[in-house]
Amino acid sequence: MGFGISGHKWLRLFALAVALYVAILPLWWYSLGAISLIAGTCASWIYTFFDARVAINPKGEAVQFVLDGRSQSNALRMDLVTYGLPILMALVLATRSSSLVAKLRALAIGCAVMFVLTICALVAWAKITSMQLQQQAAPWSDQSSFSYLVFHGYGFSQPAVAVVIWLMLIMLGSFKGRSSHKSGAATVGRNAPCPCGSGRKYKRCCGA
Amino acid sequence: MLPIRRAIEFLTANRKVLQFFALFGFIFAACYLLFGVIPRVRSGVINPYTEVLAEAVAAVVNLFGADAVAKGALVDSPHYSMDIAMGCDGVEASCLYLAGVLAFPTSWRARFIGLAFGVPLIQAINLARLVGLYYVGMYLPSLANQIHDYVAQTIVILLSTAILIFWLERFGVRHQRA
Repeated sequence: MGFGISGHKWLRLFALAVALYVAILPLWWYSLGAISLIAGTCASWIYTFFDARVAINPKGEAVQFVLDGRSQSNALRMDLVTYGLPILMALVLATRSSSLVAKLRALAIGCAVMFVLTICALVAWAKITSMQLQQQAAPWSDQSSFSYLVFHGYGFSQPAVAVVIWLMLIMLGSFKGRSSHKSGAATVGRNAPCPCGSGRKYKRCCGA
Repeated sequence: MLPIRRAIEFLTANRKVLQFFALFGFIFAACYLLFGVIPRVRSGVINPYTEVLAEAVAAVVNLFGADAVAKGALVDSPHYSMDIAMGCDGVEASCLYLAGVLAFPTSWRARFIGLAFGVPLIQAINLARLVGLYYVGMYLPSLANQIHDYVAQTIVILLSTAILIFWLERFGVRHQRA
């Protein structure tokens, strides 16, 4: 079964990913306003299908829950639900790829998935806040409540979410160029050195 | 019709990988709900474990003369106090690793080996993180929040992933089921 995880120099990859993460972190921090604006606007538009009185208003690096034109709760800090994004970007950029196009495609797919998850998190946050206003859910101050633990669990698990998306991109072959992979499969013997340059046998690397 | 056909081809070609990730996601969510959310498990298992972690952190920093004592989940010393809260107990990292090991189609022996060395190793890494955060809080208080939120947790998850990949390559793939 081809899971495609073999053939990478993992320690070097993780060291490079940590260095890239530290470099990308300030860029992400200064882009939070834009991320908040786009994600908040999309989530607000989606939420109007459930409750037209509610808007999710981006405000700087946070979003606010607005009911009938009035802000109803503390703002949600967007950094807490998006810090998986720089981790994912660092991991994707550090991963060896058959071509720059394949790497950029993997980066775009990964960022799109993270973005969709962020919008889902905002919609869930709006729903929980709405339930709190109707006293159907415990307030955020109750740190043992189900909604607090689940929602903050998503925040705490941002690195885990990023890692799972990255593993999925590797195992689904997003880092391999389609044409080169097919021609490699046709011409390279299973015991021959892998054409990707890893130094391993083809059957233990790209042909796994 | 073409996009539908391409989607079907993609699903067929990657069926086993997608099955793995579906199972991975399910086990991760189930473990997280079990250990991280259900109040009885949290108060009966995780909170007492967090107190043990606090005692372990106090014991390690006392080796270097910190004069710290553990009070519940709080590590208290004359220089700095640190509360080990939800998210600092290593539950996410352990759940991630556990889900990866259990979801991969391999033998139960390989899974047992993975869990026996991986989970304690991740907890040891988490303990090292907590000791590191104690010293960051003491010597770099202005950076403590940023390092706690964005760096320490990330490094623990990346190291857990490295352990998972090590297991996949050394044990998981070797005993892989057809």
